[in-house]
Amino acid sequence: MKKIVLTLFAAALLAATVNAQTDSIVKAKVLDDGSQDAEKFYNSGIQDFAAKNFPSALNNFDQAIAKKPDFERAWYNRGTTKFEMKNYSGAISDFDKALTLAQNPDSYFSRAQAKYATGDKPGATADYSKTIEIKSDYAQAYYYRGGIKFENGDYKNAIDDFTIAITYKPDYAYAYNDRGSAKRQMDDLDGAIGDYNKAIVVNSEMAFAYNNIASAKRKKGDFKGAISDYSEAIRVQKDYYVAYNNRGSAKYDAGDYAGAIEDFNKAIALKADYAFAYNNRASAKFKLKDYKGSVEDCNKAISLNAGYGYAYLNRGIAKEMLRDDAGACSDWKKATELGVESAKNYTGDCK
Amino acid sequence: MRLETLYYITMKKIITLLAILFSFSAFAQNVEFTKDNFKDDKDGLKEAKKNVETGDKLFEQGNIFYKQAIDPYLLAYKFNPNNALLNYRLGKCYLYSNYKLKSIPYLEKAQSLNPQVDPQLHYLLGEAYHLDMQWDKAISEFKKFQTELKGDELTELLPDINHHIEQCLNGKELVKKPVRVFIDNAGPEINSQYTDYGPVISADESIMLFTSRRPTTTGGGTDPNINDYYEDIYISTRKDGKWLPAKNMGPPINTDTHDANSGLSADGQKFLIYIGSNGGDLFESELKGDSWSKPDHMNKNINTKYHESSACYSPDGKSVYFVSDKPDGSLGDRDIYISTKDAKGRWDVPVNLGPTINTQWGEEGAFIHPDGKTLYFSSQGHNSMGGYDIFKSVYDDKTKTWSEPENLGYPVNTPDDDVFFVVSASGKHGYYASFNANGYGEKDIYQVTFLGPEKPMVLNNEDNLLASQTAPVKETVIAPVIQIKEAQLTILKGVITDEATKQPLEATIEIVDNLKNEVIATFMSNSSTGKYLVSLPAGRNYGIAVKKENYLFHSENFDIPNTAAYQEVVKDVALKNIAVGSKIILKNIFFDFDKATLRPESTNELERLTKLLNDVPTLKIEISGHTDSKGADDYNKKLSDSRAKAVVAYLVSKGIAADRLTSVGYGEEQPIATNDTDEGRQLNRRTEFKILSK
Repeated sequence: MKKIVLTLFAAALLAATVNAQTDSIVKAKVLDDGSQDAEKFYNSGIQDFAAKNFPSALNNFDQAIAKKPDFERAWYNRGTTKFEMKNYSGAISDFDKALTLAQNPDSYFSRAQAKYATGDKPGATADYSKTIEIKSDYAQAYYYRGGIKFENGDYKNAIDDFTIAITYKPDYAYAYNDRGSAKRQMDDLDGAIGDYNKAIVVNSEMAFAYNNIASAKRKKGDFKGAISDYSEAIRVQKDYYVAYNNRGSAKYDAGDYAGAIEDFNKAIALKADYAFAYNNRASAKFKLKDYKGSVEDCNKAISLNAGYGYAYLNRGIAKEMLRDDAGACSDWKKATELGVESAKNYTGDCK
Repeated sequence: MRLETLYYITMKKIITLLAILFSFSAFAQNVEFTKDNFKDDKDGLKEAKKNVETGDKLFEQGNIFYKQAIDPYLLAYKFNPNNALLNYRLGKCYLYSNYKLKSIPYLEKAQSLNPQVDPQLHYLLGEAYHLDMQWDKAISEFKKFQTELKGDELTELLPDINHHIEQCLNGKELVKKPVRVFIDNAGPEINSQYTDYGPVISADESIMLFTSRRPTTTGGGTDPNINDYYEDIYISTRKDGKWLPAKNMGPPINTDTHDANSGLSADGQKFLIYIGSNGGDLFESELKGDSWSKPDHMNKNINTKYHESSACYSPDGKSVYFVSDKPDGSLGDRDIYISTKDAKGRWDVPVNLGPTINTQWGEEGAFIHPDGKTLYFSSQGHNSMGGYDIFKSVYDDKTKTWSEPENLGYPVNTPDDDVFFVVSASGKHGYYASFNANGYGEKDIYQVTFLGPEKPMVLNNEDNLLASQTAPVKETVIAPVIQIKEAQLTILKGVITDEATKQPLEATIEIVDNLKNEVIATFMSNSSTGKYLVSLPAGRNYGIAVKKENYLFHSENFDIPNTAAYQEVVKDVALKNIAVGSKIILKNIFFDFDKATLRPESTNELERLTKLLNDVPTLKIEISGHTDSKGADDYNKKLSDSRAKAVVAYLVSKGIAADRLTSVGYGEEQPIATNDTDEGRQLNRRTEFKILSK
């Protein structure tokens, strides 16, 4: 008997690592009598879940619920399994059922995650708030609610949620990172850099946090500092194409156009359909007076994203230097159509 | 370090040093063309001395022969490259040729062979380095030249030396911020292997005149003073963006002597000519149909016994800006003056443009832009980077002052002379002449395309702002707006014809400032082509009347605010005979909003109408008012009727018999354009007149 308990405990741990942000699978109570079939299926379900055998886990949780319709934890775990299987509406109705059986904050939290996954941000926000109502120190609920506020552009209130999350979970690296990002969006670049640095103190292997520090520094005009931090991001995550593209841009800002091109090349090698990197490489080539190369890169960026207004703007600028006035004009007009305001200023001489 | 090692290093240093000294002295040995030096090659020496002699003869005749001295000198140089004087002279010859920078190695070598070879050596080297934009080296040579001068010589030359040094310092600054331009050769239709220069263009870049010294010059003569062919004037027109092969303008424009064009009027119908007689004088010629009139000598207010070298017309044709080196009223050297036509149409006493434009140094090549206020000119003063540089200055009509001249910048300007620069009405293109080894030979005409400030490329980036999200967030970028400066004027051009026969007509085009109620300028269309072109600088409400005897006048209105961008408007006008039933729209009659009160801006048009009725006393006309479709029909009819009556009342007040005039208000009944757009409605709100009998 003792062995089973241990196994289950291990399974719960595994489940926790699978979904880092949610303790989604809850271990069963100790089993002490031979007639508990529902619990047996339930435990098998947990094992399957840990092994990522989700259809089998689903089957086991189905059986458990069939045997015992008021098995609240089985409803909850089945919801979590459906969530993993991207059956969000199914997950939501299972969490609904679990919540009729018990007001468990985890159920609200998980339902919030599922609602978010369906794009129902107001529903998700309401469920995170409900989670907090039941369990006021539920750090993750604050964190995710803050994330939605961030996405809605409500940076000030996002910062408040991230701050409470950090209060209850002082080593919450993600919350530091995201609070930093909210500050950055509010142009508090020093505050942003401070938070990103705290995130790194907690977890020094988060490539995106280094990238974010670097971008804040680039925004401040500290190109040297930015280049060094982008390099850290790349050190941590070798295939981090976003950081290569960004480091290339910082090198561009610093006037090192050849160095920039090397970085854009790497970004492209890592992600062959990365339109931004082509567009940016076009800019660096332009600075090196390689106007033909610049046009070719813009062509590629446009072929990857037909609605890429800035690539049209840039291609027009390069075409002007190639004495292709008609081509430049048609590109600037297209960029204007695509919402690039500055292109309008260039079309004055166009026929 | 051990003592032996130190000794070794010291010895090595000394040996190296000696080797350098030795090689230097070997290099620096001046080798004269003597038998002692060339014992083994007497024939070669004889030949070389002969070449030196040939070169020297040309050299001694002055700088116009320098370029011919180069070949014999080079032959001698091949035989003996180490003669200081030969190197010096060869360098000097190159400095006065098209290949000025080739002078540098020869002058440098002359200096290393014998620094005392000629007292001018430092000065010439300074000039050569200056032209090569080796600013610091040039300054150093000019300073060395100065230290060798004493007494009167120093007093006399010091201002020039300081000027050179100042220009080098200017150049150092200007090349740091080059202007973005394309500079293109105007092509083989314009340029030849001979000297082509002094281009002038009509405002719309459809006509170019320029001067060239070609063997086919009228009379075929050579001017001994410049050792080159006499100048002739050439003309080219542009079709579909391409210049057609230039033609010699022939007589009576070109004569057996120097004929050099100067300014061309904006419409290309008149131009100014420089002729070398009387110390250099200015003439005018006009296009009558398809032939140019015999050049007419400008009056004594313009031409003096001094050198009047170039001129241009203001866009209204009422003023000329011209250059003279006359001492009277001058601020030093050549200055730019303006003369305006008096009431009788004669060029009045000129006025110096003043110290903002003219300096103690030379000014040349004035060109007033078709916008009527931007003056392009060349000056050796201001912050020139060497020789003449091109500047621009804008006249403020309110304060009656010129703005501080602005250097057009490198690479339009160079350390050499940059002069006779003209700019298209659009402000997009400039034309001038310069020498480039890749050209068609000698000086060629080049077109400059101004690109304006660099258009910034826009980079796009994204970051993983939210740790829980895998999708990166795109950074919002706003591309900075670069304002492209445009010339602020409207070019109105077209062809005037007879409505019935479709034949081109020579008609008068009168431009009126409606607010000031004054005629700004009067032009004629060309009798053989009917073409006309007028330049309308921004900031005025223009009334334009096209008139010809026995025709009804045609009127246009152009309200061009100060903020208007450059535009070219093509307006072909078909004039109607004075015939029963003919009607015209009076575009320059304005009423107060929603009222029948004539605005003062209408005066000129009303006077024109009065004159027509006086000229043809039998004419009976109907004046009709029209509105757009906005507002109630009754109201519109009433308004248009009272407006027509207001015009009739005006005419009666000017002495026109009331029984010759009928007024009618049609309201919105007779639209001539859609009432769905602002433009259409504006066209529909109008006053017309119609001939009832004549």
